[in-house]
Amino acid sequence: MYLTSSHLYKEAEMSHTDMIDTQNDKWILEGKEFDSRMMIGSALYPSPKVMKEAIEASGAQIVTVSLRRQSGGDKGNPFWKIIKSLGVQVLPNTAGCHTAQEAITTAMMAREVFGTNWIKVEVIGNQYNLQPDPFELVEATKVLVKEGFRVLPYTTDDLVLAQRLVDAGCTTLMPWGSPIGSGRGLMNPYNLKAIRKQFPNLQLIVDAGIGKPSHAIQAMELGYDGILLNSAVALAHDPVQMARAFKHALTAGRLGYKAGAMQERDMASPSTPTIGTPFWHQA
Amino acid sequence: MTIYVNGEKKVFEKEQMSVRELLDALQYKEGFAVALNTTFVLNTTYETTMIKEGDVLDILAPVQGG
Repeated sequence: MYLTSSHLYKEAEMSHTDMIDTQNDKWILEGKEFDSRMMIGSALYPSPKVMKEAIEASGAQIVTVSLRRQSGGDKGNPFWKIIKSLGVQVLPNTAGCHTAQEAITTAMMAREVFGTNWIKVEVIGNQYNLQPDPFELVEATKVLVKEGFRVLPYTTDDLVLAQRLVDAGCTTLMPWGSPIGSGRGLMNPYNLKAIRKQFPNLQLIVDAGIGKPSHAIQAMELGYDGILLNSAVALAHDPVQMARAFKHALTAGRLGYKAGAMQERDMASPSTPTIGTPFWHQA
Repeated sequence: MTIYVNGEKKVFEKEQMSVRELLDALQYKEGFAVALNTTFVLNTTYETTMIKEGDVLDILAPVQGG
């Protein structure tokens, strides 16, 4: 095909349309508005400098953080200073908790330290695959919602558990794609799709297991509202470049979802017109 | 009294002290939260929350998380 001026004009027009589409696609999450649909973790980077640059390159406006024991006499907290300087919404997690009570106490400590009522509730039930304990998770969620928290639960892709969390007061769910840090992508797209269909008005975020930008695209194409990732960027050979790649992946996946994908077919169907085919030999 | 702070054994001459007194003694200044025997202690109650023999305290601060 030869490119004519009208083709070029159409291309320019299309990229302008894309730009408008992305700009108008604000993400309203837990009552706040965001331009990016990515949540990014702050752990595992080769250095604080790379962490900061990667977060900035990702375009993410929500960053996950955590709490750990601190010795007395420490002068300042360089990590926390960097995160504050980014002006992002922080999402503290309850990583490492194994019971509802531990998660509740950690959440309350996080609210005081970070000054936010957002909490990623994570209650681990199995050390091998870091699978959430569904019973403790629901219990912690019930208490924390009553205490005024915005609970974003890290959960499995179990549909009934999703319902229980909604019943407990969640308006956002974060089912896993695959185990934390595995980079295996979406293990069970069928289950993730089922949750999407059952809860069309819920904010759904694939959390954990994302390893490559294509996994993020897949999650967004399923109609998920966002993704949460950490290892995929932090453990990449070039974290900053990978953060940028994920930024584009989210946009591509989101636009692809909104555009509406074609129906899959079992049979091939030629895209080039068959009428007027030269050298045509009819049987 | 003997108490445990962040998993470490600490011995004090006093038989009782407030959370605030403990934090001052261990030079904690800002950017942390406290749990006493796994229950959260609101920072506005540090002066009135008393620590006694055998108590377990956790003092947590921001770190990287996923």
